[in-house]
Amino acid sequence: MLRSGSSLHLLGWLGAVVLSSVSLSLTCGEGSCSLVSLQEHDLWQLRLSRTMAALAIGALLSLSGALLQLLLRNPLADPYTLGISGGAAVGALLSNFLLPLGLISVGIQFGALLGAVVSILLLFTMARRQLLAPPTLLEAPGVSLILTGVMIAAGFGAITSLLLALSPDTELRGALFWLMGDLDVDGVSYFAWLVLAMAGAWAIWRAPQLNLLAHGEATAYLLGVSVTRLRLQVLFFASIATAAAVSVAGAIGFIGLVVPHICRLVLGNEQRRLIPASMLLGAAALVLADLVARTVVAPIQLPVGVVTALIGVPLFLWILSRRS
Amino acid sequence: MQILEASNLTIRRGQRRLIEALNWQVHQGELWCVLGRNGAGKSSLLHALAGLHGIDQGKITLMGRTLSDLSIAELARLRGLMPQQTIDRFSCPVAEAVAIGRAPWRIGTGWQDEKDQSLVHDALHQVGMLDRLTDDVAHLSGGERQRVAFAAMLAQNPKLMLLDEPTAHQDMSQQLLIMRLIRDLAKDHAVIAACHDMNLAARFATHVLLLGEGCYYLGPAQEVMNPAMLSRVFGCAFDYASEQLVAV
Repeated sequence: MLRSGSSLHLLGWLGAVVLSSVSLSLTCGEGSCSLVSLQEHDLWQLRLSRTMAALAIGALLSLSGALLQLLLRNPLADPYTLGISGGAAVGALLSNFLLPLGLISVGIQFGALLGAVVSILLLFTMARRQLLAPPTLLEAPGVSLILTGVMIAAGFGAITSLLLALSPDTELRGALFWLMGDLDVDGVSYFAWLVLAMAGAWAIWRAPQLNLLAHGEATAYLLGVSVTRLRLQVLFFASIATAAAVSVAGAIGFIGLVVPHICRLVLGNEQRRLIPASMLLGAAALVLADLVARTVVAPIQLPVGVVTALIGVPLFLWILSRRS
Repeated sequence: MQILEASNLTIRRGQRRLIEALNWQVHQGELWCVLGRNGAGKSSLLHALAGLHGIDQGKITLMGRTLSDLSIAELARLRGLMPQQTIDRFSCPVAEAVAIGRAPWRIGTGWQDEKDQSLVHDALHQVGMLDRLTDDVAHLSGGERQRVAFAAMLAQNPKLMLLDEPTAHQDMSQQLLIMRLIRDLAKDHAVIAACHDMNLAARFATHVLLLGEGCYYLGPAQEVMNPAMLSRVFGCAFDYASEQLVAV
């Protein structure tokens, strides 16, 4: 069994992986890797803001995925299971169509955030009975919460399709890019970093209780955990982590599903290791996926969500075949 | 020493009254077996005593304090419940599945210390699973998984141990091992076990609670386990068989 000392050792290694991916991302561009000179200040700024956004969003999505898989006791849960990205997509598309051109880049982020918050409020309202119910050994955990989330996602999915069908051709490409996940951001994503700091610190602090929750809500309650409160907190932090990520860069898939899985396979389900490791590996994975997205067919940039899916799908299938 | 007291306890499920005005005291040194037909309310009673199931009327006191006045953390040190079945959604080594029993005793967020580890090893040794320390719980048979859950309860070491069908899924030798362990535990704990096997109950229990439709009988095992009372509760005839083949 890994102890706290060896966990630090392992997290140190993952930290080194993150630093390596950051230096690759900062130095590599179209076709070549080299240090950017001071004259190319704009290029440096561009790569730095992309890399910083990728770090925060990768960590946020992995954290959210790890928390939701635990809460729903379902290894197939990901940050989008509960429909938060659907709300963000509708918010982003609406602001894309409604706002004047000059406000669009800020407006999309704000609209996405607003949409995500609306879907979170909808989820908490519709599922309040399940969320506030005392823990029990009798019911299958998380099923009704997942169903509520799936319904919310389906509703927002329909509205998204409707908005896309009604949108003019000129705006369709940009909207589709955003929906597939796009890290083409301006400036530093302070909001994403702030949410990451809050949600990450909370999850690491609460990891011992989360360890008990992994054995089921009733077991956690019997061993002294205030399950109703913990359940609300997990859902709240997982939701704001997802909302912060999708509002900056759209719905980037597979990071939140695959990264916690890989960490769990390698490190086991001890949350004090799993949560920081998921955040670090998620950050590194998204930085590297973004590097691939902007270099592999340069000068054309691919949406990073396509790259994460193209790598994530075979990886996930391989994990599933190993499990069975 | 009195560990548990139920006064005028009534538990309903929907319109059905499972437990009706139950008055019951459980002391240290007693091993109670709860017997009754399927759906009579054995599990619901155990869940209510553990604080997992609400009660409709009456009062439960644990170590002299009302159950609802105890904090969740205090409860975790005073009572433990081993459920009928444990479902694992995530892989977990056997040692960690037992170590969760130490959580109520670990102050703050500390990692397991040597005392915790030795208690985990001791608990697994008692249930005959020490050689499976590093195995994944997902790969255990139903009976083995239940013994791991029982070991977690041993590591938790609460004053009141509630066991929901502790011998379910166990072969004959393991049933005896578990029942002997429970009998030894009852010396300095109070143990309440929901049972289906009447012969095991008659052999090991000090006291028996029989749950019938809207009625109950309780008392020392020899007094309660007679054909007349059992017939009233189970709705079929009972008699002593002169020649029984029993494992020893």
